[in-house]
Amino acid sequence: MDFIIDFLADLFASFGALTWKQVVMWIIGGVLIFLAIKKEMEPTLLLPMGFGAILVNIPFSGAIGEHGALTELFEAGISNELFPLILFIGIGAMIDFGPLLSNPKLMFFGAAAQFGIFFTMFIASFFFPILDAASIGIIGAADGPTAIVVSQRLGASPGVRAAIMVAAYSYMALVPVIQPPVIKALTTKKERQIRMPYEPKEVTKLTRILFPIVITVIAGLIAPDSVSLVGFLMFGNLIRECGVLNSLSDTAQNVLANLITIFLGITIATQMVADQFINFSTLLIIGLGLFAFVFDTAAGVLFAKLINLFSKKKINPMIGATGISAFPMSARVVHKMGLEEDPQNFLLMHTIGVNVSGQIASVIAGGMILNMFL
Amino acid sequence: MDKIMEFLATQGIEWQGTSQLMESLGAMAQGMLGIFIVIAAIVGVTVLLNTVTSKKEDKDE
Repeated sequence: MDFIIDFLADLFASFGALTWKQVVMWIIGGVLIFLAIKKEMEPTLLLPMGFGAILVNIPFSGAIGEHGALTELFEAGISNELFPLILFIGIGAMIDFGPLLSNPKLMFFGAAAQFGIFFTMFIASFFFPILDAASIGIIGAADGPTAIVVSQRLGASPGVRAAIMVAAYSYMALVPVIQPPVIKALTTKKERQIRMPYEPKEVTKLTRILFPIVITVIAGLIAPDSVSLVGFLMFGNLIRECGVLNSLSDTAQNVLANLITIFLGITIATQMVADQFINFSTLLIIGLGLFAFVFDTAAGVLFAKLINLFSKKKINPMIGATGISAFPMSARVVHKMGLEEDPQNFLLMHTIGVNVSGQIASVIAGGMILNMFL
Repeated sequence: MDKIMEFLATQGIEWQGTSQLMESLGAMAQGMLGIFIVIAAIVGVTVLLNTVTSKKEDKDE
């Protein structure tokens, strides 16, 4: 009889070790999976993160710890920033800079929309040491790889890092919910109906090839710590544009990007251990992340309105909001808003151009932060 | 205020107050100015690239 009792006690030992915080993390994991599958919100990231959150919060989980597979993956690819940088090659290969190159002035909207990063850093500095505050501000870059690289390099504490990664990826998926109310609050109906006919200008192949090289050199000379971020993104783009590496470009855009996304998503979850994650600090960081996205959107719109004060050719201020780096979701959201206001107003090429410039600007912002604090 | 700070301390948040105010404001100004300068440089170079390469193509034709 004792033998049976001992056997059952050993078998179900983990149940006794289960804490309420771990159960909460299971629920959070479940919510992320639900959002991914049912609402189709960034499923490539939310589903692996959600499942990973469950994996690492099972008592005595073998997935983490000394020989845990997820811990090994974290050491192999996230603590040394390799996974996000390799993912940037894929992202660079996916981006068509054509709409931006035909109207380079759109890049200034991308610059303006990074204001949320720095303003959030300023607000966060009341609650956190400056390096953690800078890491929290980078959520406003709306770019997962940049958020991971910057927070890792600045040495943000594990609990802060986890919240940053979850916030960055979750809010990217929530762009269709976050941006429209902010845009409507800052613009009038008349402004939202401003038409912007698209006048495509020819962009030569040579420009397309030289652009990624030139960007890397310029950004690297000004902010050397941004070379890996900008360089990998532009390397991916160069593979795409050179015209002689179609198979590599195809691999980078599809197989490589998908492979790294799988590893990245599930490995980020190693930071979502209940004891480190469930606290007021996480809630505050997630709140500050939302703040960053809101101020990014607001800054882009207000910058466009400022330009309109001095410009004869009026800009639809909504396109300023697409300077956030959530590509291409933000571009599509604003294009759709434009059509709702005026079914004849096709803003897509402008929004894509600005959205792409936001990708460049967010990476440069990350580089500037690293330059300032390292 | 003391009770709020006590609560934050129990949650692992050390209230920094205004001790980092100048540093963070300076970083904010520096960061935004830096981004605009870099983007302006990139815009300038892009316009130059567009001009030079389109002239080269016209010449080749």
